[in-house]
Amino acid sequence: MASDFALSVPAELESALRLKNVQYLVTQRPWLDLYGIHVRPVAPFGSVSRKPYVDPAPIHRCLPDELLHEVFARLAPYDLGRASCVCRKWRYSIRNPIFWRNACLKAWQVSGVVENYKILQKKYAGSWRKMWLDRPRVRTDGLYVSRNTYIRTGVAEWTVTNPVHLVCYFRYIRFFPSGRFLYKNSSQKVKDVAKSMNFRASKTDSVFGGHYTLSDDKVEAALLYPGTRPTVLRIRLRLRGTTAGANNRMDMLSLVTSGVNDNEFQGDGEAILGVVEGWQDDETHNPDVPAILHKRGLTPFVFVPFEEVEKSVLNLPVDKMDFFVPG
Amino acid sequence: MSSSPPPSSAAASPSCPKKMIALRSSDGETFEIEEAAALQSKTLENMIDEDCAGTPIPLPNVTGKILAKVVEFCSKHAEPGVDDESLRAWDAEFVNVEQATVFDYILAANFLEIPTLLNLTCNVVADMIRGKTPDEIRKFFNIKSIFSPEEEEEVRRENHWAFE
Repeated sequence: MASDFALSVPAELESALRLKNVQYLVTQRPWLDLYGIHVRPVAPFGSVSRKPYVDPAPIHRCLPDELLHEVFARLAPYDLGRASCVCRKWRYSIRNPIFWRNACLKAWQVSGVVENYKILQKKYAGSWRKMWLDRPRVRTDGLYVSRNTYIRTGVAEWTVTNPVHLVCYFRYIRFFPSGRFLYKNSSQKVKDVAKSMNFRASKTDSVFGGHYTLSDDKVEAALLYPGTRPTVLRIRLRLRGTTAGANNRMDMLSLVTSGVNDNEFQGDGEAILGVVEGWQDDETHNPDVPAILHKRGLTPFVFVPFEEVEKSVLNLPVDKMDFFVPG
Repeated sequence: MSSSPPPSSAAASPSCPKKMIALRSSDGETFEIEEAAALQSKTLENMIDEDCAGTPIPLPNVTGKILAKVVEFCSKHAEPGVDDESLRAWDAEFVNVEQATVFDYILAANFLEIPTLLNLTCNVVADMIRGKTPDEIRKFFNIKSIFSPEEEEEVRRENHWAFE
């Protein structure tokens, strides 16, 4: 075929250009594609000769659709996502917006039902499933873990002398849908910490609780360290995910410790967010406790669901895994 | 230990012994169940209130084998003075049966409208699904996946977030 656009071609390529203009006639033989394919005649739907299709799975033979729906209603959203990959029947049953509506209302319960409906219509065209996938949310079925390392000079111990030690410590955050969160900073591994990250933890577990808010993809969290000099820890995070709906990474935007005035803060936790709202990064209301904007130990958080806590790579000791790059 | 007479039904008089309801399964077996236990089933409760509980109530959707177990379940749950812990353990033992039987329990609980049994059995099946990968779920329930390769890939992409 002659080319449609004129090109200026250097002299050396003149011979090659002549080849381009030679036309080869290729006859089209579409029937050749049909050879080798076995076609079994399939009787149309209502025909008598059609063999009745017996579903091999007892669950499909026994349970009618509404009872399968009852079973799915008792699954968590992540289990529903996995169940959706099983077969066509399950995939289309799980598309039912009721499941996703319940999942969304539970995940964003802090905003309240009316607000959620409004956001649904405005941003997600009435599709709960779309809201579940696209709207950033904090995951509550596991821990967000940030692995930080630093190097410190080694100490001679008996015969073993290491010139440097690679020290590894973790920050753990667990969010709850009610607006509270738990925080722990420790060198213990994920599988040991996971058991103690709940409200029943004892003082020795050094798990601290606070409150957080989520606006779009920014999380503002504040907790108060108990003690004689009340110190408040403010963490600002940004949610993202490795794929739509995963919400499994959080970047640390800032980490500040500062002091609160004894008068400002009376009693309980929820108020702490209101107290520190709008504070500058270097603001402190207690002269004994300076405001420190932490610059180190700000590796992004990776989400580890509870069922993967035992086998997560974050459990590996430092000599086996010195770098861990969160995606 | 003797159980106290049923509290709510208007038909039973407090002085006479526990009223027994007769049920007939689809294969002709008859079972007797205390009224208090029968009241756990909304279907049976409606039938008792309409006072057609004289002759055995026919239940064409439930076989004898399953009906026997359902009667056992209702009687256990109607017993007074059983603490939650042991009841839960008893429930766990009750549903420790093979898949097909659990599905039959669900169907019976749905037909007889017994919310506790329905909840228990649906949770059991949900537990069977929870935590498994799709392949494991297919193998467990013997489900044949008829996705074409393109569809399979599309489904995987759609639900990738559930695996992250």
